Amino acid sequence: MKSARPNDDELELVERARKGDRHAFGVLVERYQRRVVGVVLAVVHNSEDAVELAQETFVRAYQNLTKFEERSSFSTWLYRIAVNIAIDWRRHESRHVTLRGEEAEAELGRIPSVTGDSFKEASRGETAQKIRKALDELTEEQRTVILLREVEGLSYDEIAETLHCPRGTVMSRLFYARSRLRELLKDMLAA
Amino acid sequence: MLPLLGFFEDGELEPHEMQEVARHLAFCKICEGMLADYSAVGRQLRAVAIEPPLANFTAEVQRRLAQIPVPVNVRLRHYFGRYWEQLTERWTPGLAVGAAAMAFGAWVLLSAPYVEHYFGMGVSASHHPTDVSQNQPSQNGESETVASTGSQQGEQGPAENTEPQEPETARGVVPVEENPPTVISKLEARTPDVAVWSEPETKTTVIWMPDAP
Repeated sequence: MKSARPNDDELELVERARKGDRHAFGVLVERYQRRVVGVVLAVVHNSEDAVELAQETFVRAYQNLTKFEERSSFSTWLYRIAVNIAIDWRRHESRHVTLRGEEAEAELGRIPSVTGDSFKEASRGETAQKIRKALDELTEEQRTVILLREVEGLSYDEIAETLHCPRGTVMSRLFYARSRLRELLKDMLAA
Repeated sequence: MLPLLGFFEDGELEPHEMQEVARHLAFCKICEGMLADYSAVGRQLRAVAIEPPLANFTAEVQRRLAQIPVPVNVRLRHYFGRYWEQLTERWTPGLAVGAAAMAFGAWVLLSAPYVEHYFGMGVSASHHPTDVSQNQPSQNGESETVASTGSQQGEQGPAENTEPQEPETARGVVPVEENPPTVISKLEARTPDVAVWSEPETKTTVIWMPDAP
């Protein structure tokens, strides 16, 4: 698996952050915040939670900077932490709680759908509604991979490293996700 | 060709595969249409994805970092800066060599009793009156083992000069090689009249004692 190595500037910032320089780490946060939120969003599908979890990602990364071995790029290392945190969060959120009556109804209104509100702004439009429905039809793995590729623009190697899976698996999931989305959005694409 | 179209769109194929797909697309309208669909799906996904709210993101991360206690090693590095670097980089090889030397010295000191025990027996036998006797096969074949008590050995001097002796009573009979050093140690037997003959090479031990009067 090919993986991008960190550049000198990035390494210097990491080294300074390791020595306790929070300003240097702040530069890294500024640089990668958008991408890290996007990666988390591909897993949790809820922008508020995604921002919160992305902040947690940076805190966790700062605490574990000594474990960053510089074999992969700093960004990939960050994405991996982000995905782990997001998956843990999703697992925690998906635990079943038995509620009855009014309490259950109240909770039901708060639970986001599978794709959450990552498309809320655009959901007024018919197109966004269709895309949201189509994404719901994909498996969780396929949805994550297609969003990481198409929305966040990660390379196959970056996705593979981030999700701890072989490049071939990434390619396979992408192929099925694209084929399924093409089929589901056929009318829209034809128009 | 179909599975390769998406990867072609992403530019993730090997150069020769990219060329192959490009050549195919030049005349295959079906694949061309499919590739256009894939591109459209990607565009739609990007178009409807919202920008997450990132205002104060860095400030919030910094606020949370400020609440984390700084580890001692990081604090030391911060205060002592380059001195810390020198200590860890310049002195590390020296400290490693020193530690290795100390470990070797400790090993020598600790293993000294064993060295004396295994290698020093022959030396001590030369001046210890109870230790060593040289064995030779007996001529009459009655006994192949020659052992002596402490008093006998003491009179005859060092082990290497002693003549083979025939014990009057030897209860243990073992095959003896030509020249292996024989060790008779009274220390091993707790009684003055009893000698213990040990041969380390064959791991044989013979207990010798005089006949009852």
